[in-house]
Amino acid sequence: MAAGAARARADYDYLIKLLLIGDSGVGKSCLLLRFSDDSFTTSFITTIGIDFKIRTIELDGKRIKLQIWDTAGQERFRTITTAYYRGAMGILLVYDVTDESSFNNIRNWIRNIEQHASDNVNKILVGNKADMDESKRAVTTARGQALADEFGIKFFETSAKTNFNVEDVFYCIARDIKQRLAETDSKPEAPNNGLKVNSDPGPNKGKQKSACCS
Amino acid sequence: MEFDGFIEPNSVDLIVLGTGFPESILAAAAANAGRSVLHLDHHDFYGAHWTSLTLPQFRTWAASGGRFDLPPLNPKEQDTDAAGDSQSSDKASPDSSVNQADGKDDKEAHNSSVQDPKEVGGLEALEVEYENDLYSDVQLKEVEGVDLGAARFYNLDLSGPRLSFCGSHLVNLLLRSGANNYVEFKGVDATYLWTGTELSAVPSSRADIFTDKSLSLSDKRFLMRFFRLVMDHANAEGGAIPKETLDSPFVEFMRLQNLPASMQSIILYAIALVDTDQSDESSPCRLTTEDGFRKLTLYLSSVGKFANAPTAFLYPLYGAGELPQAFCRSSAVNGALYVLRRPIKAVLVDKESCEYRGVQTLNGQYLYSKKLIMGPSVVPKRGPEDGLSSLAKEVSQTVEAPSNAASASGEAYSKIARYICVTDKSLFEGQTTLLVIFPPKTISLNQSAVVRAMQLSNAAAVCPDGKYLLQLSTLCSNAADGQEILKAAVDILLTRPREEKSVPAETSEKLSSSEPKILWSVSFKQALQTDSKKLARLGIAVCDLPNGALDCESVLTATEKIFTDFFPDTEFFKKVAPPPEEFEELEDEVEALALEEQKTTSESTAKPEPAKEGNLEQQKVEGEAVSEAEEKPKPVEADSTS
Repeated sequence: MAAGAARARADYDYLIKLLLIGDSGVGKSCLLLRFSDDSFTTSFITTIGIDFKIRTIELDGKRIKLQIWDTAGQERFRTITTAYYRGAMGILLVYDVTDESSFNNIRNWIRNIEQHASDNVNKILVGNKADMDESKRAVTTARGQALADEFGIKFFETSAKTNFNVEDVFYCIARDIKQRLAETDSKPEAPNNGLKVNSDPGPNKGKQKSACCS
Repeated sequence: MEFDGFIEPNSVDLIVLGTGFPESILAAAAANAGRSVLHLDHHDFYGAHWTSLTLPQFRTWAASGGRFDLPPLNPKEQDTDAAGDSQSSDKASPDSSVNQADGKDDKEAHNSSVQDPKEVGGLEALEVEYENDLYSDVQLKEVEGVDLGAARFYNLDLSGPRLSFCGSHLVNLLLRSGANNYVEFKGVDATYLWTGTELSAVPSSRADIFTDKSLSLSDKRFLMRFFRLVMDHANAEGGAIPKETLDSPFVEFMRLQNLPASMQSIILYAIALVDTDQSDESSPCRLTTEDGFRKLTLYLSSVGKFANAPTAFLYPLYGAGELPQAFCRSSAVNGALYVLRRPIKAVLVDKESCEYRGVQTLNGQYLYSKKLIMGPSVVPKRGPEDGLSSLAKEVSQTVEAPSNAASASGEAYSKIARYICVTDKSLFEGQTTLLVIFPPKTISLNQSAVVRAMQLSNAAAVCPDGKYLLQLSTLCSNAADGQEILKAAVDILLTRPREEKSVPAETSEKLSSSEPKILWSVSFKQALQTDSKKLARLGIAVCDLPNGALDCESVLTATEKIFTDFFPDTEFFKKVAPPPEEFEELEDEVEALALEEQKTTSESTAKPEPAKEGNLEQQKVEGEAVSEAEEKPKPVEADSTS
């Protein structure tokens, strides 16, 4: 959350945390792997072991580091931890154009987001598996667009399999967030001087050792 | 969506019931060790007794007298999208890779999972229920006409106050589980000790001690010599202090070392964080010198460990309830399956051997596992039904009590009084996150246990901007004294004379002109143990309720013991997770290269599972860092990550 503005390290100008949300099997992990690693596998179904991925992109001469989080399978029984939503700046709401119920559930996921994510989080609606044969399609593009319009958010149909619109959807939400952050940069945002526990010792780590022995 | 659908697979290595802090760590540890884990909770939120609640959730909880009512059971989804749900469930299940691994047909699995266990043969269903009387004396006070701000920005800890030492085993486990990616912390700004007449700042570094005007030069010399003794002992092979001394009460050892009385109090109550009166010679829970040394070493290794932690203590952003969630995600990333709103109604045991075999959910599914870990609220069903007679011989055989200060105090303290209030102003201008310790008998003569208060704010993301939270707790018996003592402590905090500080006149005027006001408060008691006897069967372990300790170390000790009992040949979080920042750097470099090549080849060198790769490459670095962090407090385990 945090204003995402440049931190001490100069390897990026903005750090943006994105979430993928939607029913099981709509292709969230596939979208993520396509975007981060440019890979696709059809055998990959249930999310195991995908945590988050990083990809840095360039927009208008700024380096944007995207940290994209997957659900770790916790969406399966609608048991996503509230902690998942902390600090998210953008959320990709994904459904499967061949699965009517995954589309209908988007409303439930939006309710969830309203409950747990910060108010100004950017959202984007994504109808995945757009490469599938028209005979299998259950949700028309027009219905997808209408739902997006209803919530005032942008809409893309994508295919992780054919790499259709995948770049576009991530670039689109990144651009919107970057713009929002640039506008609110000077304003104080929610607290995010959070301390991350990592193996990096603090600067006075060395001092502490001798603290009491001299 | 398999909202209320059957769980696939229905047979795993470990089933965990309840998403409290110890249960979640155990689930994460088992998943981390490659065991298949199914983690269920009957609540519709994570954290069980360790959760953090929003204001509306807390009001609902308080209105029902401190109960969490079971979510309505609806095996058939009632939502309008019911049809869609069942469709998607049918469609999703055969795809499940776990299911594929089992090599089972979907329908077959469903059939076997709803079969009567008696027909399966040799299994007996012991009915269970959820203990709902763990909280008592709940008193909630709303103040008319105050604006509390956005209710959902509140995160009120049910088990507070609770902190972690920067150098604690918990921090180590967060690193080893990778859960450190899922939770951030706020360093506690300062610790204060109530002397009976004033709040005195607890020195948190050597520099603090030198500038502390309340200590004479000779006092400081004694203190330095004492710290040196402790550090020398920690560093010496086999220890420098004789065993006899180590077993003696710490308070007596400090007396022999000529430590000033004020320092003894600080070390016992603000550093070693003991829960009860140490001057009482008849007390069964006096801290030994050995444990005192361990705590002091932990404290000294915690100060200055993280750049932006001014003291030895950390508090999780968004509340203590984030910790179990962080471990649950770590567990899920390692393949554990999570299902909330899924109560069970029976535990299945082998008729002959009494060994645990599985559970039956309230919506009728049979789930099997080799081991079962349960939160404290799952208890054998009371009543004259068959449950009782068959349990009678097991009932007396309760699970052995965990070794922690709170339960070690035995009969004397059967409950913990907790109190939370929202105020409109910080206790100390300019400081948001504070710990205040009231040693025994400093509030009133009948105060036998330590009272701790923690102030939190928007800086820890537990309340809206401009509001402050006070959390207090103390061990108590069944009598009402605990809650009265907490109220007295709050009065001291809010109405104490504001110190004259060297601040601009305008500010100090503002300080003295108005004390912080209570805008909302809740007070309750939590049992330390369930009244019901626990289910003691082979293959079942039961986790504890939150204890009265301020830090998590005693809980972790008991938790790790459950794990090593269950999985004796498996290390408790053996794999070392890659440090995320360094790993990201690696990704960045790869990405930078890719950009330079003008995206002609968009193939990143990262594979679908870069975490594993990073792991190998970073293991050495991380391993060193971790063992270093662990080296001081627990030398025995220093090699556990190598």
